[in-house]
Amino acid sequence: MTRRRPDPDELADLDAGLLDAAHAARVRSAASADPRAAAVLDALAATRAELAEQPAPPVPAEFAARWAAALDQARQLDGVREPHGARAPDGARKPDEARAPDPVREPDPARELGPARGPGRPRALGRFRPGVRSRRPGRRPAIAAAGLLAALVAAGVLWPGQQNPPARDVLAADVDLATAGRAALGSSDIGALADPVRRAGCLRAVAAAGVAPDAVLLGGREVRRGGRPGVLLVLGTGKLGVFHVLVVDPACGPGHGGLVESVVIGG
Amino acid sequence: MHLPARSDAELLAAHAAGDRSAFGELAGRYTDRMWGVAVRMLRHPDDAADVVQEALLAAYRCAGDYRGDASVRTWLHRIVVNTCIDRLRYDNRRGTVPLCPEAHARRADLGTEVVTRLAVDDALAALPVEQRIAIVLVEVQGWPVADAAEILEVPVGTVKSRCSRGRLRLAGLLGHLREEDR
Repeated sequence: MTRRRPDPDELADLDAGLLDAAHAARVRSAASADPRAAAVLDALAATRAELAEQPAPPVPAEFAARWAAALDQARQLDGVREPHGARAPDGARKPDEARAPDPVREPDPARELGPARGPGRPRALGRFRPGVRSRRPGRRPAIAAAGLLAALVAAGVLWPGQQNPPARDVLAADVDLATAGRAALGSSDIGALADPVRRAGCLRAVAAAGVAPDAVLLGGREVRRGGRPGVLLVLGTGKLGVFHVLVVDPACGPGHGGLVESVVIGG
Repeated sequence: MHLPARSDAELLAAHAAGDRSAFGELAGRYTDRMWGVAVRMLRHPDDAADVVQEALLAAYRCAGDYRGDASVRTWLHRIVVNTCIDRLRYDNRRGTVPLCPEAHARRADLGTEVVTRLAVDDALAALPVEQRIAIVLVEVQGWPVADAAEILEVPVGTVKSRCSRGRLRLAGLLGHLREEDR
C-alpha cells in the first residue's frame, strides 16, 4: 500500500499536537518512510530550539527611567487627588468596567480622523510619529519630559499650560445624546482620546455593542453629563449616515472602560 | 526576620488600597518580560517603550478593575499584548510598518549551498501578527500554551494552530527548511 506523503502543514500540526490520535498515527507512519518528512520535522525542531535560545532583550536604562518617572508622577497625582482605586468607593464596579481587557482582534485597515492639534497640546502618551524617527541621543531627555507630561494628560488631571481643566460642554439631562452627537460632528476636542491607540484601548474596554476599537472618529468633545466629566465620541459604523455616539470616562483607555452612555443615530 | 514577599495579587490589592510602593514592586517583577514582548512585536525600541509605558499606566489606573479570573501576570501581559496590537494596527493604517523581508529573500547559491538566513527578529517580523505574538509568547518567552491562550483570550487549539503555522514559516525563513523539502 502506498502511503500518501504528508504535507508540511500536516507535519507542522503533528509537531504542534493538533492532530487527533488516529490522524497522528497515520501521519507518523507515513513520515517514518519519507526522508523529506523527516527533514521537515527536523527543521521544525531546529526552529523551536533557535527561538528558545533567543536572549531576553535588556531594558535600556533610559526607558526604565522614563517608566519609573511616569509611575512616580502618577503616584504624586494620587496624593493630590483621591486615593487610587477610589473611583468606586463602595467597591462596586460599574457594569461597563467589569470586564478584562478585550481580546485580540485581527488588523483591519480603516480611515482615521486626524488627531487633535490644539495649540499647546503635547504629544500624548503613545502618540505615534509617522515619518523619520530621530535616533540622536540628544532627543532622549525631551522625549522623557513629553512622556511625563503626557502621563499627566492621560491621567485626566493636568492640561498643558493650564492648571484647571478646560471648560466642558454641559449636556443637560434633557438634551438627548443624538442631538449632542450631531452637534459634535467635525469637532475633535477630545483630549487624550485623540491618541488612536488610547482610543482603541478605550473602545475595546467599554465594548459597546457594535463599536469596533478602530471605528472611525467623526467628531467629539469633552462634556459634563449628570455632573460627571466625560468625553463624547461620534464614531462611524461603516453605514452611511449611521453613527455611534458614546460618552466615556475621560480616563478610558486600555484595560479601563467607563461607558457613561451610548446611542446609535441615523439609519 | 525576613517577611515573605507579597504575592502579585497581594501587591495589586495593596496598590488599589493606597499602598504607594506596591505597584512599583509589582511592575519590577514583570517589566523585563513586558519589554521583551513589546520589542519583539514592534521592532523599534521607541515604539516598544511607548507601549510598555502605556500598559504600565493602564495597569496602574485600572488595578481596581482586576477581578482575579486570571493571574496578575497574565492580566499585565494581556494589557501589553493588546496595546502592541493596537499600535501595529495604527502603524499599518499609517503605512509606517517597515517592509518585511519576504520568504523569497532566502536565496540558495547552488554552487556552494549557502542559504541566506534571516535573523530571528527579521523572520518574526515577516509573520502575520497573530502568529507572531503566539510564537513570541510560547516559543521565545516559554509561556505554557494554556497561559498564552489566557493572555490572548483564545482557545488553546487556536494558539497551537498559530504556533504551528508560524513555526513552519519560520523554519523556511531561518533556513532550517529547504524549498525542495516543502
